[in-house]
Amino acid sequence: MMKNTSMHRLPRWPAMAMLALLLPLAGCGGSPSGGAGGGGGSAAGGKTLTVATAEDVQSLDPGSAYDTWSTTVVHAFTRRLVDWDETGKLVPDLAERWEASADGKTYTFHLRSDAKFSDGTAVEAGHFKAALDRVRDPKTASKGMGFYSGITSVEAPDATTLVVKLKAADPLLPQVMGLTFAAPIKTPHDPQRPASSGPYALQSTSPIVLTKNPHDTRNTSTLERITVQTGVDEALQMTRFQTGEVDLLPGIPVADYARVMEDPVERARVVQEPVNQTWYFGMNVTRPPWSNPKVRRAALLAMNRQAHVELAGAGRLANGILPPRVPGHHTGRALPAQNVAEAKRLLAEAGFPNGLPATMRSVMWLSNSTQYKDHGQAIQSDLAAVGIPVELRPVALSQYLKGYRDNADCWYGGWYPDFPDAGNFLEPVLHSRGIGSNNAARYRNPKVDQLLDRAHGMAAGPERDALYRQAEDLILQDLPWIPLYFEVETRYFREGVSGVKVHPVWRQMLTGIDKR
Amino acid sequence: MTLAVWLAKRLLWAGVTLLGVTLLTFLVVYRMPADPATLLAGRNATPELLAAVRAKHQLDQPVPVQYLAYVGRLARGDLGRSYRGEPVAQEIARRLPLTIQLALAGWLSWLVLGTLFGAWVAARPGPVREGTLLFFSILGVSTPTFWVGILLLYVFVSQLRMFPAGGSGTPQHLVLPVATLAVSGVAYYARLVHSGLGGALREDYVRTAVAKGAPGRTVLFRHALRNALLPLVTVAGSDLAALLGGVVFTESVFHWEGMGMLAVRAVGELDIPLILGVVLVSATFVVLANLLVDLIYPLLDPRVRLQ
Repeated sequence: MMKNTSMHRLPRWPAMAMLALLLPLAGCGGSPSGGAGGGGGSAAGGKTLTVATAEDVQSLDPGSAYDTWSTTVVHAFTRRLVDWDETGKLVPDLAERWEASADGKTYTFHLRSDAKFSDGTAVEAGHFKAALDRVRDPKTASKGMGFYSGITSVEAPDATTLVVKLKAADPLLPQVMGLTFAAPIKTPHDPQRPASSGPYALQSTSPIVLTKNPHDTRNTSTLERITVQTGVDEALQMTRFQTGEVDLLPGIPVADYARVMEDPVERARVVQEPVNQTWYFGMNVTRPPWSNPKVRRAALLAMNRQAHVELAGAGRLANGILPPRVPGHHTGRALPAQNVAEAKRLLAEAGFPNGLPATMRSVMWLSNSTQYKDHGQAIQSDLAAVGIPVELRPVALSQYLKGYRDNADCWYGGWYPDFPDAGNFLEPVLHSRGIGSNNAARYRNPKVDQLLDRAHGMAAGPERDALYRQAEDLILQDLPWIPLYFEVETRYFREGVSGVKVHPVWRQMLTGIDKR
Repeated sequence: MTLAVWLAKRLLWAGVTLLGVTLLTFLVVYRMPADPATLLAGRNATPELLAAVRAKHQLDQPVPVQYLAYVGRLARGDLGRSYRGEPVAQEIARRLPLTIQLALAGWLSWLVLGTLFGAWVAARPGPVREGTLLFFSILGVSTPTFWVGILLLYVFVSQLRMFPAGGSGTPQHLVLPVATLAVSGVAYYARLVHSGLGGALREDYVRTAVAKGAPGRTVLFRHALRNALLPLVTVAGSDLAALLGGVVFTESVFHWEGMGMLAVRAVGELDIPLILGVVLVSATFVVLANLLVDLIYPLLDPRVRLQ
């Protein structure tokens, strides 16, 4: 084990070689060029708006797009018969007007004659018929199939007339015509390269690039191009935003939230508005301990619901089930604040003076993202404080979506309607018809069912809203859900960007934005 | 046994292994308490739609039937279509070149920098050099990759504006992801080389080489390192295979759209054909890497024979 003295003569070059290898790496920086799509206004002619999101775009086929970002992009490159304005009101788009027959079972839409696809050909009634027939065909297996299941036939007697016949009267038909599923398609339809009928044309899907549709005369934006970067990690989003490569972020990363909101200059480039999503704690009313209404009431009183607003960063304390931008939302109602003593008293009344035994511990399903876990833990500790033991089960989103609907004990979740309509919000989740699918609480109240059924067929207005309010009051008495907070979304944009909004239906909206 | 026979046997076994991999993956995916049909049908699914979705993607068939159909397609070189509608082979083909770029660059950084670093320490052992190695080893093992990535982004992109903010396409894009990978691997390789060299340098043949007056550099690199490299080859082989399967965190942080990001998407969306495709490609790399290691070994150590 002698020490080899000759080693002292060994050269120093390995260390120097390491340095030599590292130096050129460090030196080849040059100008920061963009990732996918690039940003700023430097791309070939005209102004480009670049948006980045951590989410993925699953499909740009109007027949399948249903997640937020897919519909956002499809919305930008299509126009439908109708759309929703900034207040969530249904307005004509490619249909100039429409009328229902006396029995409410036939709708006739009259199309504008100047609508054109991005290739310059006219958008005709037949293109809408093609889209609706395709979405209704079980072979397509479209996520939108359910919205159009009441339709018996779609006819296009001439280029500007579309006749939709229904099994039964349905005043919501014009609403579902606004969804991206009902965007006109050309035949044969290529799902990878759908036709563009909107303010922008889909130029490429990977990366997602939209260019201004020269034939859409109603698009007043001076933007030539919109690039959507998907699957971009939050930290990288912020880096790209700071280097100017990205102009618009769909939110502010948690790490930067306080800094941005406290700086008046930065704050001026933030838009925050409520969207129609209610976050809630759901309970399966057919399984103990939640089958006992007193335990559910005790859970409501146990909870510091304001804490969830703060956990969310932005949010609004929920005062009911229907979110703020859904017609029928009741501004005057308030839910009781946290009252631990009263919660314990109710539990004692329910037969549990010392809290629930450990054998009655229920399993609470949540998705394994940080957001879900933070809220789940808050609920768990509030419930534990009054003696309701709950075990968290954070799982992958795909597992959660099945798990919580599959006869779970309880869960934390968020629900939103497809368009601002109380029926569209309440029916899937709280009508007894939804038991076995989206009514995970297995809540059944014949009076509520009746009210929802009656309101569904009525024309919009105060009378209809009143029915929904009655239904909501009954639900809040039975309490299958404990509403926690209404979602508020944030957009953060660079100087010079204008027209950024949080839309009540589309949430993310790429149209209507401009850049200096 | 001739090389040809040996190779033929090994390739046959590789095929069997890969078939086993597909079977295992299939079983695991189908044992998962989640249902791809519920994901595909969306949140407002009606029972009719669920049935339509199952029929469209053959999810209504019994699992053995689905598996046999998959293997049948595989035999014809067809990896199927992802639930998004694109052929799986096409999706992988788009991602693979990027992953190969990053994996090779990262792997080379481990090999080259690790060997040099290890040799530097072994050449003149002492508290300073060994301490440096220990420091970087602990740093490499204990810092999460995504954190290193975010740190590098902050310093070199946000502050110094030296490199592009993620993405791929030019050599500049490669620097930070490779540096991130280097942090996690170089020290480990350096330790392997260091301990291998430490042993080799005490061997008689090294003493002989020194005694006959061979220069230090020759002793270190020609005599000692060759023997010290043997364990490195095994590790490096499997590491390269692992890297080629996709480096999830590094790819995500830098938005390097390779196999890692594809794998995350496949699992997140429970896209069974895509999961199977990604796993199969990764497994193929592992099998090939092992084959390659076995082929290289006799070249480094003539005592080892192929058998």
